[in-house]
Amino acid sequence: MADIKQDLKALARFLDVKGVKVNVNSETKVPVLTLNGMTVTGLSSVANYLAKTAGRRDLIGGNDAAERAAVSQWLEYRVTEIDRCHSEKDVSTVLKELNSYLETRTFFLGERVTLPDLLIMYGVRSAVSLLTFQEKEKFMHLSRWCDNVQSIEGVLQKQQTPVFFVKNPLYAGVQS
Amino acid sequence: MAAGKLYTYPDNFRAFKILIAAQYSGAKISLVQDPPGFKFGETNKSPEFLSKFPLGKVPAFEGNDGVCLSESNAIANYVANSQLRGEDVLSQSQVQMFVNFADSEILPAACNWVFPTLGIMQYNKANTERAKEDVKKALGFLNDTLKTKTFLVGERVTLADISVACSLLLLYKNVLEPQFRAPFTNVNRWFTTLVNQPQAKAVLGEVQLCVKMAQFDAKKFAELSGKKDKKKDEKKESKKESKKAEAKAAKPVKDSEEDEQPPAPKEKKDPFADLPPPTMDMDAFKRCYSNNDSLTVSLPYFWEKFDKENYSIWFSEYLFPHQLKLTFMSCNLVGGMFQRLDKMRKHSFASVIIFGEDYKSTISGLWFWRGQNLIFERCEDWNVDYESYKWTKLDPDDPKTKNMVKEYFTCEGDFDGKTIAESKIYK
Repeated sequence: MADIKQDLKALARFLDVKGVKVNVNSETKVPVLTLNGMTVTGLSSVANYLAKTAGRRDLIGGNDAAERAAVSQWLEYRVTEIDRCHSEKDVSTVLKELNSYLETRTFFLGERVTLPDLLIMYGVRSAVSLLTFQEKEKFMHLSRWCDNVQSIEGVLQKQQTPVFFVKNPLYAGVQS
Repeated sequence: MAAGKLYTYPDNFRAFKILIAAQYSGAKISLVQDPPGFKFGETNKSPEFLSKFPLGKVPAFEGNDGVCLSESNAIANYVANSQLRGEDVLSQSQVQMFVNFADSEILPAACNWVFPTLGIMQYNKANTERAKEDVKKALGFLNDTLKTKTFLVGERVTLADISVACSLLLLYKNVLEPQFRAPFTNVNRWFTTLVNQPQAKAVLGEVQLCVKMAQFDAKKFAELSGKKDKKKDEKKESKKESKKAEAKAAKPVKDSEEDEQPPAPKEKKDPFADLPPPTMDMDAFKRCYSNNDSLTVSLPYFWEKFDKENYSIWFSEYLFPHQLKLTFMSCNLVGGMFQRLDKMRKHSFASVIIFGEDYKSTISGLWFWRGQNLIFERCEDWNVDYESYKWTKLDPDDPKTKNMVKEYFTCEGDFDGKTIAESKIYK
C-alpha cells in the first residue's frame, strides 16, 4: 500500500541529503540507494544510512543498543507487514495493531521521534487518508500519532496536503 | 533573548516550569538557590530584595537588563520562545487556559493530598478524600483532551504542557499508584513523554513514577512539624511583615536572623502581670472539653466554672470574607492563626467555624480568654492576625450569649441559617 521509492526520497529530502538516487527492483521490491558512488540495499539499511549521512543519529536510537534494536524491529515491520498488505483485511489488521501499540506511547520509541515514526507514517498515510471519520476515530491513537508526525516540519512534501483529523470525538463508543 | 538570575529555594516545582521553558528557548538563566546567594526566609526578606520584588516571594527573576518579574507563570512566559507561548492568538489563549487550569484545579488538590504524606501538613481525612476526588476530576478532563492530541495545544510542546506536567509532578511521584492512574492512559502517556524530553530531564532528572501510594506519616509530621511550622509561619509573616520591615529598615537583617530562634527573651515579661490570679482552671476545662461530650458534660462544666471577673467571652468575625477562596484555604488561614498564637493557649479557648462553601465562605468564632480587654494587645507576638477580625465582647449573662456558646462549643445548631464547612478548636 505504499510507494517505497517515494518514501525514501521523502526521507532524504526531510533529512536534507542531496544527490540521492533510489531504484526499486521490480521483482523483489527491494529498494537500492545510490549516493556518492555508494550502493546500499534494503529499506532498513537505506534509512539508517541516510540518517547517519545527515548526522541524525538520534533518529536511529543513538548509542543505546536496545533502542537501536527497537528501531530495526519497527523498520522490519514496515517491510514485512505494511509493504506486504494485499487486501483490505490486511490493512485493517495492521492499523488495528498499530493503534493498540500506540495507545500507551506517544511515538514508536515512547518519547521521541525516530525513523520508524517517519517510515511507518509514510507507509500507512495513504491507507489512513482513505478512512472515514468514524474509522479514524476507531483508530484514535493511530490518528493522534499520525497527525503529530505529519505536522513535523519537512516531513510532508510541498505538494502533499496533510490528512485531516477531527480533534473532538464525534461518535459515541467507537473507540477500540 | 531573556537572560538573568532566578531566585528560588531548591527543588521548587514552580521554578521547574521556568527552567524547562528556558531549556527549550535557550534562555540563559543562572539559578540562585543556595547560600550565600539565596537563603529562604532571609534573602527574600532583605530590603534589597524587597525593593526589587516587594512581595518577597520566589521564584523571582532579575534580568541582566534590570527587568524584574515575579510569579512563576509570568517568568516562564518571559523566558519561553514562540513555540512554547503558542504561535497565534488562539493557541496563546489555549496555553493560558491550561496554565490557569494547572494552578486552580490541580495544584490546590495536589498540595492537600501530597503535603500530609510528606509530613509538612497535618492530615485531615475529609480534605484528603476531597483532594482525591478533585484530582480524579482533573485527570479525567485531561484524559479526554489527550485522547486525540499528543500535546495539549497544537502538535508541539507548549507552556501548557510544561505547567500542567509540573503541577502533576508531586502527584505522579508520590501518590498516583499504578492502580489509581490506570484509567488515565492518555494522561500517563503524555506525562511520561513530557518528563522524558531531554529539556525536561535536564531540569527534573529521572522521574520515578509512584509505585505505592504514600500515606500520612504521623511520626514524620511530628518530627518535621516543630521546624516546618515555624518556617511556614515565617513565610506567612514575611508577607505581612514586609511593610513593617521596610519601615524599620535600619535593622531588618538582624531581625530576620533572630526569627530563626524563638524570641524567648520577650516572653520574660508576663502579659498578665496586671491581673489577679484567676479562679478558673483553664487546663481542667480543656481536659473536660476534649474527653467528654460537649453538650451534656463540658458545657455545664464551663458555666459552672466560668470566672466572669477574670475571663471574658468574645465573638470574632473575619473582616474580608470576599477574599476567601476555597474553604480549605480559609481553614488553613485559621489554623495558621492558631499556630501563631500558640503561646496564648494557656490563657484562652476558641471555637472557630468556617461557614458556607468555596468562594462564598465566612469565618466567625467564639473565644474566651483571661482578662476583660482584647487579649492580643497584651503581647507583641500575638497581634499578627487579630486585626483581620471584628471583635465583639459578649455579656456572659445574656441568654443569647449562652446560646452562642452552646452552638460554637458543640459545633451544632442553626447559626442564623449558615451551614458549617469546617470547624476548628483552639485549645
